[in-house]
Amino acid sequence: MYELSFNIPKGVGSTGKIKLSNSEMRKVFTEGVNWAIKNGYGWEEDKYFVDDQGCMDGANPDYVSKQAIDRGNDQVGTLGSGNHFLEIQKVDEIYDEKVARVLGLEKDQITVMIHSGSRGLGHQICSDFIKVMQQSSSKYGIVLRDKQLACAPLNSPEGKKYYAAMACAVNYAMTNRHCLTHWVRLSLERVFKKSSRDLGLELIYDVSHNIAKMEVHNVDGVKKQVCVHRKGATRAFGPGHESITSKYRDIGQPVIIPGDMGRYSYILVGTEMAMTESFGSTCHGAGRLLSRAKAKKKIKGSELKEELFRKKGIIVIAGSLSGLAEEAPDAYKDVSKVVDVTHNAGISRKVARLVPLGVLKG
Amino acid sequence: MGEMDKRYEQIEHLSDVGLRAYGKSLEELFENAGEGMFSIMCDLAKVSPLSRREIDIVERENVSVEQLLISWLENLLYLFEVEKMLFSSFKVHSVKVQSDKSNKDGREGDEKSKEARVKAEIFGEKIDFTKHEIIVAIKAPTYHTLEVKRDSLSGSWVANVIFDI
Repeated sequence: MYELSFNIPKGVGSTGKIKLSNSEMRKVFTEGVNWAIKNGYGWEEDKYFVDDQGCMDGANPDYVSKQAIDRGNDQVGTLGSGNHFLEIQKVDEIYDEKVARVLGLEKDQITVMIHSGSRGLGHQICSDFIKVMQQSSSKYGIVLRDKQLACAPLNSPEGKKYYAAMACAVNYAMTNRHCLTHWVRLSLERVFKKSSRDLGLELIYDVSHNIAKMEVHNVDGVKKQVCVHRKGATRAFGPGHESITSKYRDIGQPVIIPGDMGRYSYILVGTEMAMTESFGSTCHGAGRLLSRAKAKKKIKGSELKEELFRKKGIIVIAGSLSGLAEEAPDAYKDVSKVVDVTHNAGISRKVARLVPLGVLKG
Repeated sequence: MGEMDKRYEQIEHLSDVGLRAYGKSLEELFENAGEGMFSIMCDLAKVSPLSRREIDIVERENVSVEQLLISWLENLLYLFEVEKMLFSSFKVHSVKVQSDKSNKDGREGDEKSKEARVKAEIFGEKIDFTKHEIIVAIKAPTYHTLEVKRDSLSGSWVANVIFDI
């Protein structure tokens, strides 16, 4: 854990290991994970285990502001704060042996889970386009209930530009996680004095949540191209879907559901029912139970850290103890219950349950 | 601190963080909102006003006081992320918005120009991990339930902002 914490830049006010020029940033926006692999951050085959093979189509760097690039050019390969994390986990329960085997999972196996995204860059793109779309909502006669909701028709100039900028942020986020994965591999190589291939550090899957995608769905019996925006949701395409990488096509798309640092996280797969009931979507995490302010009042970071180690043997390394208290297990719903709901509703299927052994927080 | 002197406080929000800022004038409101935002991220008692930055935000569109407040906070966050700066002291010299009825500003605006503007000086220092603990990094102020209001009796201002973290 200490080796990991030493090698993984948290990126909260600190600089990552990579600082990119504008032209390199543009390549990240348009090439995604391919950029990382070309530059030595990752294995050639990794891209087959990332949504859209690590690169979302339609990205146009011209619609990403200078401010967004400034915020993002030293955050590639940084974890971030808030609910982002890196965990060393153990597979403690398998629900479907056959599917788990295809994913390369077995009981008592050690896994690493990373939760991070497009960092300050994505937020700047959001801020920039809220300004644009606040004008366009009224221009197109759209009335919205909340000022944070601003929109334009997808095919309007504003809508097209936003989609192209968002794709840049998605490609940046996938690249970010890929660089983090690279440093996980290097750290574990150092600790175990073995190559990461010998250690079997294969990428199981990388899936983005909170993202809009152009997809073909059956709407009232007619196949239509639609834009599915999954906010607080994850894509969960069922078996046989052509966009699923060939190795996993028969089992359905892998879904990663992070829980909290004291209990569990889950690996699920998408189902046919998700395709008919929820536009190929399932949940995206446990969801909060307590606000950050309440959690901080109720829980002390230092006690939590000590208790997680004493009672469960979980090693926690956090940039901030107050920040840690805000992310305490008690601040979250029980992810097992959330996952059971989606499993029983049939919109995704449980494959494996993972318990945390070590937690790294920004 | 008495109720009347309160400059800002954190307010409840389930998944993110909320801030309520007060001010006798718009300038004071903006100062307190800026300080309040940084107080969520770190202990301001440990941030010395060693370094100064001038801020001059000009919005050419006909923006509301709410939008101008968001721009102000976004500018501060930009400096936090790009220059790795923490700020603890804020002097807002002027906040100019159009004096239309919708924002109930009640002051004389520049009738000819549609420009909205914030001029300020802010003080702080570079993040030093040996003394500054970043509790959580705010990524953006949001428009979600955003409100900037002026009390018609006392004339003082109050703003509610939810931050994405």
